[in-house]
Amino acid sequence: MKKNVILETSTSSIAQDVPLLEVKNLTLHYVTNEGTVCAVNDISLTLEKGETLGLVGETGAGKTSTALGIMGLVPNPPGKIISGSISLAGENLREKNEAFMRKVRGGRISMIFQDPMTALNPIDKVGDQIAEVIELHNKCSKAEAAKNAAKMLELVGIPGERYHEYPYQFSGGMKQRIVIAIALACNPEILIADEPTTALDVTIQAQVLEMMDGLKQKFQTAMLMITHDLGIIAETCDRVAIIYAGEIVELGNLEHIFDQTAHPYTVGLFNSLPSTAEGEQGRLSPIPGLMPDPTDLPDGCKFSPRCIYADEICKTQSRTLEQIDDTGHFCRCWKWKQLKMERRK
Amino acid sequence: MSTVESAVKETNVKRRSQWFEVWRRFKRNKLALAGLVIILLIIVLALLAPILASEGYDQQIISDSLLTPGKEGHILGTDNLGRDILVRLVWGARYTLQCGLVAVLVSAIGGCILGSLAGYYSGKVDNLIMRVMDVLLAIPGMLLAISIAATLGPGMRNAIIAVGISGMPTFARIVRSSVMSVRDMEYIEAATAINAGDMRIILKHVLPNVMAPILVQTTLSVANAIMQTASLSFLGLGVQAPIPEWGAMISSGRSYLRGYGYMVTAPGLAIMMLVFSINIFGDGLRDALDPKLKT
Amino acid sequence: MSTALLEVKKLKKFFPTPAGPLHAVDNVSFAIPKGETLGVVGESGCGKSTLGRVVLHLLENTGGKIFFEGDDITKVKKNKLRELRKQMQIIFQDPYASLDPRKTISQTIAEPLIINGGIEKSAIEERVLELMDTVGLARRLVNTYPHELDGGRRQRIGIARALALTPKFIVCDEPVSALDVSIQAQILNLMQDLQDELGLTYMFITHDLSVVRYISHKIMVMYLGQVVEMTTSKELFQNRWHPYTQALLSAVPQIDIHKKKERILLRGELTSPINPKPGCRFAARCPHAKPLCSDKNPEFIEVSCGHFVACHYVKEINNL
Repeated sequence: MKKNVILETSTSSIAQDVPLLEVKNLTLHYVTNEGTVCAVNDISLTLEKGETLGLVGETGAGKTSTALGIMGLVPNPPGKIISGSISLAGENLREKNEAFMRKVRGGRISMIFQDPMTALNPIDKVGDQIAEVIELHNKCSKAEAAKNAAKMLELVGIPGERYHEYPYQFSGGMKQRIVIAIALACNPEILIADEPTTALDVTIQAQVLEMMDGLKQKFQTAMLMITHDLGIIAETCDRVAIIYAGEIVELGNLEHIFDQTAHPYTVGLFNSLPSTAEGEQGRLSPIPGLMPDPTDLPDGCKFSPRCIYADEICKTQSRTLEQIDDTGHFCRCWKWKQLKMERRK
Repeated sequence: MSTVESAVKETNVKRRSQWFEVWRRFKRNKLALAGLVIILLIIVLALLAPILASEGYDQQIISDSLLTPGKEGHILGTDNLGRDILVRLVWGARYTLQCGLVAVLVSAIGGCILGSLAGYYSGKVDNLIMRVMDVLLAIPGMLLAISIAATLGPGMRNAIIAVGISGMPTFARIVRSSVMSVRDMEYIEAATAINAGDMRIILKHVLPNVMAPILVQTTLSVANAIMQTASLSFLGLGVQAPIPEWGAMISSGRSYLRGYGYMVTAPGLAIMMLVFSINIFGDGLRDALDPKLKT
Repeated sequence: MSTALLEVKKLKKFFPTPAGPLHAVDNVSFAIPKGETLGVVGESGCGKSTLGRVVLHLLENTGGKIFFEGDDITKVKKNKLRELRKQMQIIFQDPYASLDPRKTISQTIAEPLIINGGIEKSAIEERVLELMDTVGLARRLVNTYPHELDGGRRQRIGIARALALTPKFIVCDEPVSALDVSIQAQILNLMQDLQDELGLTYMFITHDLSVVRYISHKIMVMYLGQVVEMTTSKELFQNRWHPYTQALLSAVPQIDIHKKKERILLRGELTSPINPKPGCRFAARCPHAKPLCSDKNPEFIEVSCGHFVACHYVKEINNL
């Protein structure tokens, strides 16, 4: 496999014992007039080279905020990182200046967002938009950048001749491919994908996910896949973190989360899903209530108001994320051991 | 909305009425608040005229004519007919405000009706109405007002009609585009599905949701209307003597500009202050309404 | 046939465009028995939302026939339409756009009652509270505005509004697509309960295959304005015979991590619904396409009991 893009040496050699990305105790608040939104509360996670980590949660759980925090894209005001560190190959990004971060964004960590309709500049040719990223991160001529941009287009399944077309001439699925091409053009070490296929039809989603998987294998990119769709997680991720009210409530590999589900919220999520699998289905058992207001989070375990197993200790004391076996399965619950939870198959 | 904004927005669900929210946002803009206070003061002044200046605006004491400000208890001096300028100013507030407000009411109501019909029904109706509006807009506002006033004859009522008509196209345009953006929303479709008639939809669903731009345009138009009626009076086409509408006061004072300039500066400054206050109030109102201005 | 609450025969809806007529709904026929749910599933551009609106006369049809309780309602006068609307309602997809932001919950739910009369003014308030109870909205929320509530609650308001006139038939246009997974489950349960208690008939439009399976008795798969397959829910998920349905179902990401499944990937993108060429509209992307497919539009035929498919080679592809 030939790498077509010349990378500027902003990548230091990665030491074997340091994870590619390490987020430690990240806490992020938005200070608004309606109160302080505690969007991210003490989140820690790691990402290894070539690995895909899924971030699962519902609206308002804090997944996008975490991603923006990693990228240093949190608008300030009203957002503020209160504490925590974000280390890329051992270097703490929070200590770096804006010039360094600009080299990181697009060059070492790329992000793609949910809505392909608004992610592209409507008045620029699509090829030029890819070339722009290449030029910004590499010392190469405009012509070279254009050539590499055309190659990226081919890689994502769009004929190179369409370099000179404008975004309005493409469908939603193709626009998302172009967005992915822009994100991967400089061969970043990490790709953060925030609900990349939610706005797409299911058959187009299948095409795009397949393509992303291929590119990931080819370039060995690590990926942070943010989604609410457990099906996508099952098909694309190596490890999964379940986020609720700004905290990670369960973390583990696919077997841990899907087969040995420990946290009541995760169980509730599975029980809420109708499935297309064959066989009879019972009635859905949704989680009662709503996610708490992040300006007014409950004491104790943040899931306790909705948890059918909650008792006094749950309501008054919150648990830290603890390892519950020796294969890397973590859970934030007082009662995981005692509970025998029904899981709808 | 950016992903961040939607992340913040979706999580804020507190119990508050919409107008209360608007007022809270408005309060934070100190300049706009000052504008509002000044407008209210002028209104109060206008209302209290019979008490504060009980002698009326036409009390002529020829022996006291053309006194400079400060002489013999006349804070702002007297005019060529011996009338106290401050008294005339206070009474004049009534007429100036009246002209401004009523004229804008005419523009707004006329513009709303025409704009809603054009925006809601589209097609031929839209074409007809908007081409007429375009013709009116092609004529400079002042010129239009002058020609209408000249046709109808002098007097405050005709001045108001003239200014009202010349302001209609602006409102019609704004209402039309707002109606068009709201017309395709699902809740309008929902109203059709429950058997709501067109009139009901326009009055109860469309117009309330386009209130924000209409309100803002109204405040800004008041300032403009006051200027236009003042100008009409200045040209002799609007309010007639002895009514102390501020524009008319400037007009009658212009022959005395040399040496007795205070006859002009007092009403001039008053107009300036009123218009300025209305403008900053309108700006503040627009900013306060903006986040909710999506529909 | 005569037990069908709603029946539609060869329904068409074309939109005129400068490039030619856009075939949004083309020759669609189906019947929904009273008390059942017909799931209409397909991706963007298949015409399912347009179909829902045409059936309710929110859009006027270009051809074909619509029957409600046996009466031909294809072309209907204003008065009759007013009466009909009380029997046929709609729930919208977007809980944010389908409610008037300037009206409180009670005003929104009361409106159909006020417009259509038949109830004392004094009784309206009580009825509104009753409806709120039925859909699971706390009574204390009666004077709140939509922007103060989350998507799930807003959707409940939409459902309450649709129920206000005690309709027999409700078109549900992607009612849970905009909701979080746990809220989605709550609303789906609610809709099923309402169907059981009130004997409602639903036309449930969605792109989500797992949802449509859960809530429908019969499912209709649409592609570019035409129906490609129709059968009972159970049968469709056991035996899917149209190539598009097969691709659609295989594209849905599965939660079972141990099953590595063969995914059928479709080539290319949707062809244009404007002035479509003769022949099967799926031919351009179909992995089994043969010359006949581009020449002749396949007939919608009953391949086995109650299972209809529109494909020239359905028997060969599935070894029937």
